[in-house]
Amino acid sequence: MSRDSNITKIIGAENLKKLRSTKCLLIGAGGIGSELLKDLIMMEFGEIHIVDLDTIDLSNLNRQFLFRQRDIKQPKSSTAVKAVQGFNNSKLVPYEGNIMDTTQFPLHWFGSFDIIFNALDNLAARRYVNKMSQFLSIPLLESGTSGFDGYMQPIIPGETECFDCTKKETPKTFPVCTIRSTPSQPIHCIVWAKNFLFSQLFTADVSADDDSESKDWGTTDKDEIKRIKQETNELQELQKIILSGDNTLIPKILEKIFIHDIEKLLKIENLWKNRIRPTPLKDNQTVVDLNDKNLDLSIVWSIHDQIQKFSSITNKLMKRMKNEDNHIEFDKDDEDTLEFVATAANIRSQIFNIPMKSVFDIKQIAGNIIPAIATTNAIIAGLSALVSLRVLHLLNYAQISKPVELNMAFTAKASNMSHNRYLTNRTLAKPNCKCPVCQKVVRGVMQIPTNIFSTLKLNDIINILSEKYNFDTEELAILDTTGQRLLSDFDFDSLDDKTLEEIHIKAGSVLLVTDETEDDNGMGLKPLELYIDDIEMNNGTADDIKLPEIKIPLVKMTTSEEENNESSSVETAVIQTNEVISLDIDEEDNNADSKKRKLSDAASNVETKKSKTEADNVSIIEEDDIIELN
Amino acid sequence: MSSLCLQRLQEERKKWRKDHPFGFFAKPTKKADGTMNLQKWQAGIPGKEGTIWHEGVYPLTIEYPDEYPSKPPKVKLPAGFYHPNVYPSGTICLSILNEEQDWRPAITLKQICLGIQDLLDTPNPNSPAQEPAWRAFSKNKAEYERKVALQAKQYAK
Repeated sequence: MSRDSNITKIIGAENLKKLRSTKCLLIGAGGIGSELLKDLIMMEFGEIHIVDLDTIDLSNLNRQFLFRQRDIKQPKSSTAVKAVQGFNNSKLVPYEGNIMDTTQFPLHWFGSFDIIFNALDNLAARRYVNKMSQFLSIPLLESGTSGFDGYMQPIIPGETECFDCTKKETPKTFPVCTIRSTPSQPIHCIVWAKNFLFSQLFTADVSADDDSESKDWGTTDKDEIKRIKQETNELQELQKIILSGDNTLIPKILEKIFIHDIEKLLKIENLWKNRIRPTPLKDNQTVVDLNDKNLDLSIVWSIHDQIQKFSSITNKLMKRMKNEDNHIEFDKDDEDTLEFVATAANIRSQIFNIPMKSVFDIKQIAGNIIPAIATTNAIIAGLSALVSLRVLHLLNYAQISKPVELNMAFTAKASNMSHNRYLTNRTLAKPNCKCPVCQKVVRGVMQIPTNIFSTLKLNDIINILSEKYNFDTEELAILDTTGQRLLSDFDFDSLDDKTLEEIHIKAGSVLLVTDETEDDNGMGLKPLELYIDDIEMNNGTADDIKLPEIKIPLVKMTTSEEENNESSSVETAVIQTNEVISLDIDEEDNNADSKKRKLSDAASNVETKKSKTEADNVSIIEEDDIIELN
Repeated sequence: MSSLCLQRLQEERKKWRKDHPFGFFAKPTKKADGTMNLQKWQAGIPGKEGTIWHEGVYPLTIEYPDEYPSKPPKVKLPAGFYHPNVYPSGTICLSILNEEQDWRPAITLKQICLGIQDLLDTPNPNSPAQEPAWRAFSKNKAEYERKVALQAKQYAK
């Protein structure tokens, strides 16, 4: 039996020929990507271009079956391509890079594909590719898994709902009061230990806030200033102890955070009206030896052991600070930092009558580990590959007359639906009329000759656009969506005289252009989103600029408050009945991620990594007062 | 930042331009490159007439997270601001700014600013955020009012 006899039986010889001339883009060569690559090759897609920015890590090998131990540290995309050579008939093109890098992957490059498969692991890239598919009207097969859960969703631009038509679950945040004053769960104490205490002591910039003379304290009362200074300086005092390297001061740290701070909280009576009062440590509990003891990481230690370990680890970290530029980042695989956070969290838990946890458990929570399951990836990738045949109209016995007849698939748990079966496969919905990505804007590409980026001014752009689309120049707002920068509007014109180069508008920038004029009925022109592309030219002029030939429709401009309310309730309803987004989390990479994935340009600003999180499966970041689980 | 966040912030700017309460101001801050940062605003909240706060216009910074409007903005007064519901860092403890309490995506900048103006003179003694102002407010009104008046002068219009 020849290799293609099965696929021929399924789609027929004629369609196989079409498939063999189909060019697809596969973004991600990780968990789902490895599976998809195998599937697409076996189906005999003509060309498969594979993009991944990552290198192979030991922890990938359990499920990313194309990789072996010897491949560790090699790029995923090219290694995957080498691994499949033995059974490959397709043309394979690997790329190492970030899909959001507009220099390596400009819009017209996306435009050369017939279909795009997403096998991504983060929300920012998913959103980005979704937008590109909307710009170009290329079908996108979106997918993701998290543990035993997963989903697969075909997106046909303009016809079916896009990735951003439904609200995505965002990381859980805790109110600052819960973390600082009134913790009630182990996670609250872990967030406090990791994001507040650890980062203040070992990661925060020492020199900050030292200019007490020039600082505006909000009062001229000397005592008051002293008090405020004391409060803001207390943690810096602790940091100074750490930096001093004087380990006889370690009991002072214990006293401050586990006795004095708790006593201060106790003074605020109102906090404890309906809560159990915390019990600070006793003075004699803070005197311990600094010898490092070996303890079993999988059991919960006694409070005495917690304090002893906290002290010995603090001693260890203190010494490390000297050799590490006074800066240590939390890393769940750095045992010292993990044990510091674990013991600090546990001591605080004990104080607040919250159950303590083992170091092993805390590692799971603080490190945001959701195990990735090979079988889930295989199922989701298989569904994605299968449905692509329907998207491409190659499955004669399951032809669709319109795109909304296509099915998506998601697991019961990811959707909170159909608890009696694993997978649900409802048909696709139409675009959500309130979707900010596919409905609230019109899109097009603006092509500008390469040689005039250094001479063309923002004002010229404003005039050119206004002439073409009948905008009111006075009311025009221009935003660079990639850097979230407002460039010009009714009250802000100081950049209008700058050239595109000066304001860093280049090929790959996406501008959001809004004429804020409204008629008496609250109607105005729909915002226009323009992808800036360049035309290779040496002597081009403003006359060579090409703008999309579109008529911009009139729409209702301001959403009234009632509508806003309505839309928020609609969104909630969608989440309940529809889907919860879940993503393939790469267990070992979370910490290294942000470093690895940073782009040099503005795209890094939108880089965030989110996951469907359960209360216990979270990694945690804090920015000052808002504590956020990422 | 999501498209939703960006579009909404632009709308907030437009709404504020069309209609904002007298004596208040609010605008995006400038980035180092001269462009405006729609995710970080500065605002001024005047104390209500007829209260011990009236002499001042209190500076606010408003930071919108990428997940706005699903998540509320982070609103801060200057560090060390004297008020029972303001943390030493300046973070304001107000239920409409708390995701787990009364935040709703439909809440506008105007509502936030008015909410904070209200909070100035009607602190909530049940959610203390700093000890000194809370203690004085509950136990020593004269002392409390003296300090508030002093602070109002500091931020005089």
